[in-house]
Amino acid sequence: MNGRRLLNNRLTLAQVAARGLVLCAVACGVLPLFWFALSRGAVNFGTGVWPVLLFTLKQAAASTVLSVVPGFFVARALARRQFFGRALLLQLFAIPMAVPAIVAVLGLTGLYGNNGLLAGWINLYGFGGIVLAHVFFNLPMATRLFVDVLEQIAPENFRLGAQLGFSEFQVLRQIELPHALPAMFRIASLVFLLCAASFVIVLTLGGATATTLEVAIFQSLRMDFDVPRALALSLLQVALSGSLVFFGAKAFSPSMVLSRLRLSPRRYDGATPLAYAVDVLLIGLAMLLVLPPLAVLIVQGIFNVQFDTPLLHALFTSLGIGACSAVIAVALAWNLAGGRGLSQILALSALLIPPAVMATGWFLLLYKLNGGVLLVFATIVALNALMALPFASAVLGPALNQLVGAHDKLCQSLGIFGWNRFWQITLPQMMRPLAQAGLMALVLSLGDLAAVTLLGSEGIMTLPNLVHAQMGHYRGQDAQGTALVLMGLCFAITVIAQRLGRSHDPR
Amino acid sequence: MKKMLLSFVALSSLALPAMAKDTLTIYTYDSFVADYGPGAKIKATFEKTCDCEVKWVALGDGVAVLNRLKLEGKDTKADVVLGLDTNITAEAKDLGIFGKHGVDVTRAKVPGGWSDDTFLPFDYGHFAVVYNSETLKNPPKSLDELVHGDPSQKIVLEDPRASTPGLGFLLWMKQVYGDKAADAWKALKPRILTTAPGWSEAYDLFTKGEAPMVFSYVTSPAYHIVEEKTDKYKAAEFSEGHYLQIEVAGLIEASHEKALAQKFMDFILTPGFQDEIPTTNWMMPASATSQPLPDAFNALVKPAKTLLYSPEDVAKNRKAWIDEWQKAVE
Repeated sequence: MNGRRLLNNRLTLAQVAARGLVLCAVACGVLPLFWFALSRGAVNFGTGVWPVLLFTLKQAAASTVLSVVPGFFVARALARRQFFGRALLLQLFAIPMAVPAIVAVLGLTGLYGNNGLLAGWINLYGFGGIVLAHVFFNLPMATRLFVDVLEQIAPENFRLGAQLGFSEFQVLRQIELPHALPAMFRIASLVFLLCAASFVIVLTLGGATATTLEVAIFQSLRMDFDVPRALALSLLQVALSGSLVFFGAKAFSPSMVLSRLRLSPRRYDGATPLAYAVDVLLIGLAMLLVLPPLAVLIVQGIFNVQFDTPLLHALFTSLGIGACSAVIAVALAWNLAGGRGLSQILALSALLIPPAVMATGWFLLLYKLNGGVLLVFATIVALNALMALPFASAVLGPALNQLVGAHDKLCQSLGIFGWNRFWQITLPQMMRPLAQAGLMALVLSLGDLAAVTLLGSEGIMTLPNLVHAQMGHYRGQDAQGTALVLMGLCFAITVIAQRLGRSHDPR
Repeated sequence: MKKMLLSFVALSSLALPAMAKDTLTIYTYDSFVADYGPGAKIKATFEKTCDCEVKWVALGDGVAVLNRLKLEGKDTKADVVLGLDTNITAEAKDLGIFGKHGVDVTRAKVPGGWSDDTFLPFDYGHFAVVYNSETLKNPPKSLDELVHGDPSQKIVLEDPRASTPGLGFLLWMKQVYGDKAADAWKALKPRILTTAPGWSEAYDLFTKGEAPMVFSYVTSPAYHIVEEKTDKYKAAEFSEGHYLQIEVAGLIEASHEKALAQKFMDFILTPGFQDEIPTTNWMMPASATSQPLPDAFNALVKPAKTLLYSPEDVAKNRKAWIDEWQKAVE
């Protein structure tokens, strides 16, 4: 790490621009609100912030632990086993991220709810239900991210381990964990922030007793239009989550990495019957968690798909917004990778500052311009890109770090740098992480309801908005069909991205 | 970022065609103009009466519309605002941007009559507990029966902090129980399956069979009769009376299209507007329609007594009442 710092201590223009852009976007969101708040009165926390804070931390911590730790072990099992349907399973694991929260809740109620197939197994309404829904969303995502990280470990490591007679635990301790820890920290922060900012799931399943910071911010911004309070609460959220991420990033610095020659493609560990049984069990349990709710959504939606004009219109709008934001998010994530501290916090900014706050600030800044549809479209894309940035970063950050660590000295000694190095060394090796990062950013944007709801007013209708509009007009069944189209779209994109990433994977 | 947005602005201003017609900008909530809403037809009908174009600006819901007006203040681009309800009109009036609607209020047929000269009602609906008659054989006959009934028969409510019907139920409880509302909420708590963030989430949980009751509108069963040909969903009539929601429109005093805005306000209580309300917005029209209402509407509960706080009372007490609710259900 120190060596790399020495060689790489200057930020490129693009890296400075990326930091500047995100910082500017955040400032444009927060500063106008400060100005607005100052013109309206003093900041007032009001009463009852502490129980809200405690509940936020409690549910987010439980959801994170239950998503990330099992997610790591499921990924470990998937990374060292090859079986029929493995690729399909990983593709299916990409879908929950795209499902609008309320649709996922309905999928879970179709299974575990009072009228569900497995009614009475779990009490869905309460703390347990909130955590279950969060794990349904985040465990598959964490698993996918971990599989990528683990597959980046040079197979030579495992051969060496086998030659030294490493036990199962030693392989984990000496090879896998050192590689996965920095990524694990990033993934855990991501999941934690997602759960802390969760809104629809917390309210729908938790009811009135479950108030998170995000709910309190929403309430003060929406019902009471108490801008000072909303700002104060947001700052509390930034301080809390931000310091967590910051100190965590300090504690888990990337480890030394071996270069990857990929001479021996197979892994030598986990050959005992016990290891085999544990892996089967882990993968089976993960499937039981993720697949049945998806199956419920497919069954409920399949007879309600209507390819009418509104649906096609929404489909193309979603794809347009999603593609634009994914490209921006990936470009930003690329240029924020490598840095720590500030740049990691910047990458997570949309999870630290509630989108509702950001959108209100942008609106205050821009509403006097007669921008029309294009301006609205641009702000939606910008907000979506910011919201997708944490996901793209979670993929690109560790991958790029590892690559830089592995090639820096070699490139220096060979005198390859600048554009040449990017084009000939970095890019070919990064195709797979790039495809994966773009995919996650795209899928997140496709499933996002917030940006259009907050900023859209010119009749822009995306698929999640259509789902919501249909539900709002008693057309819950049509909404299921639309949600299925959204899921199908994300599945198709995942398959394509996977192909794209693999075809460029260097041997 | 700003630079990028500015260039977008420059681009878009180039792309905009020269405006040949006068444009009337109307802020409303998004389900009003969604594909199933009344927006498109009302726009078409009104445009026939004038050489103008109606531009809808759709925001989340009535509260989102109000918040947009608070942000924009006197600089608002709206000429007409459609879709506030009487729980938030006092705050809207305080903004000082609404002018007098100038329409003869006796034309408005809403329960309790209408006298406000700033806001004009365009539809109304009584709230009600809607139940599935196949799974709930003994529906409550009063709010008190609901509050003290069998806790195994659950209801899905909406959050009063985030949803209009949610606030409606809170006000209903307050009207009936007054100082004892907190105790009533405590008694009701075991019957609440969950408190969803909005009406659509709550109603979907209900139609999925998660609970036999949901808080909705008296008009909800009409949708199921007309569109799904089933009468299994019914509204329960409560002896204490039903809380009322009245949706209103107002015109912006400083509008550049004041004459056109005035023309639209006059249009609101005519059949051209009102005909669309019952079977697209699923609310009761605030004035005569050209045809009698569909049979499904005649079968609906007709509340004998209407409960309603004045907009000023709601504005003054809402925060305290929400705090009271939150403490009671915690």
